[in-house]
Amino acid sequence: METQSSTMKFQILALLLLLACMYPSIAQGYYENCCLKYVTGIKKNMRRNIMSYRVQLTDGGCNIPAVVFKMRLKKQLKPKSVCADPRSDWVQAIIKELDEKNKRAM
Amino acid sequence: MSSCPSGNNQQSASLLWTADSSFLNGVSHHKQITMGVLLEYEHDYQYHDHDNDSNDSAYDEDYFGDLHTVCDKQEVRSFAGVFLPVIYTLALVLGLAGNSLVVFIYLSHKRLRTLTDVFILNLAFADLLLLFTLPFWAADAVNGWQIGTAACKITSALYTTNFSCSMLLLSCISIDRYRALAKGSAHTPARNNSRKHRIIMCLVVWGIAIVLGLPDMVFYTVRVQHSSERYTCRAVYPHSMARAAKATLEILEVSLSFILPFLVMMFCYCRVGVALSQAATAGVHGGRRWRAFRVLIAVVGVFLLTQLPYNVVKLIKTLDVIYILVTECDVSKNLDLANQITESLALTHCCLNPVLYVFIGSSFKMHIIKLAKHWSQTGRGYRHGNEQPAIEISLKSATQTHTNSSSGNEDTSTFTI
Repeated sequence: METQSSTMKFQILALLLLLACMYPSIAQGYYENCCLKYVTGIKKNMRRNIMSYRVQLTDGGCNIPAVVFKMRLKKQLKPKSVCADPRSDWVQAIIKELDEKNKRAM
Repeated sequence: MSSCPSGNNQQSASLLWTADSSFLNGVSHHKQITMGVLLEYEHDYQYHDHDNDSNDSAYDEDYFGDLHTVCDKQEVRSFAGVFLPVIYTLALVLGLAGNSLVVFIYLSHKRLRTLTDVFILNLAFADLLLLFTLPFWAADAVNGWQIGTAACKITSALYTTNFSCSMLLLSCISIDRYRALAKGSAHTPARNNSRKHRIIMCLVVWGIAIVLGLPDMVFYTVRVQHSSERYTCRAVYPHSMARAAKATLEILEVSLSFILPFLVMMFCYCRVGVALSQAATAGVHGGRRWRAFRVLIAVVGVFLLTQLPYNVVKLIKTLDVIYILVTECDVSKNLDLANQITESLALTHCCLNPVLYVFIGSSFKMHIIKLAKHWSQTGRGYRHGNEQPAIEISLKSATQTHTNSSSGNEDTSTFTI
């Protein structure tokens, strides 16, 4: 009798805790979206589709440093992110162009 | 998600990804990419591009494949948001029940008679402290971290400290059980030395565990996750030394929290097993020896079952940090899922420790029976048979010529089954 009562109490407590944890509907965690390898190059006529870039650091969340270019593609509804090696000369050139373009825009 | 080779040959048929066959038949010179990774929460530097002339750019869109885009971990995060709260809730309820009962029984009814009893009490405390951190991690998996950097550091350090302490205490328990066998040839220490010895042993164990928790105190902080724009509590290293620091700490943790305890347990319990085998020649009843064997097998087996998968995954992830082994998105996601599942499995050891080390023991059963009889109105006269002294005598007779049961009961650390 006591054992069944205790088990039932534990089950009720577990259910309440479970409901409390499940209440927020958006589920996120610390698993980051990371680049795993680099693209070898982007053709010059494609570079004008690059809208912006961000820098991926190796600070514990991701294992490789990278530059992520966000590209606007004509046939795609969503922008496409492309991973590039920040140590490449062509990547540095594109970053420089974007920075200068940003200066002119302001 | 299809995996395609990267290459500059745009005429290669292997680069065809389009699912629209009619469109493919209609256009012979332009290849389209119809699938891609959708990233809706990119937090990027925004620049304005006034050049809208992109008529010719569509020609080269097939140049990029999934291999070169960001690996989207949304499904891993969604799984964590559902799976981790469930597991943590179950572990919390069961673990709190078992470990609280252990602490209550020891502090209120049962004298700390042996060094193993002291270790078991500390083990219950460590498991309780570890379990108290689980609601924070469940909330982190669901909502993100919302209670500040200091809480992030403290919770992370508590988790690692108590997890390491739990593993180290298992080693100490096995050492003490082995020492109980070898103690026949040694001089019995006086009571005050024994008490001092216990305090020193516990301080050493907790000291090592706290040292193992310090890196988490230093490196864990709250960061905005760019893909979800939520705060997360995670380790952030200076990116000049991130890979070296992360790999070193992981290897250190695997060594001290798994490999060392496992080797110690294997050595000590094998010796105990040999002694139990030799006890057969002393005429001890087979049923009692078999029961002792089952306890040993259960202790080592559950340790391996819960800790080995987690440490294997941890080792693989460490090798990935060092050598960048994982370059495929699916492999990386599966590794993250495996990490979640095996870490949750490792946590169940907190719930099983009371069963493995305390409730199996017959002396603890007697105390539970006394407690139940004290609480219930109807008294029960049933008692367990006097099995413990027989096992103690058999273990002593295997290691020493003369048995002194009086001094054994007073000072000897005994193998309590």
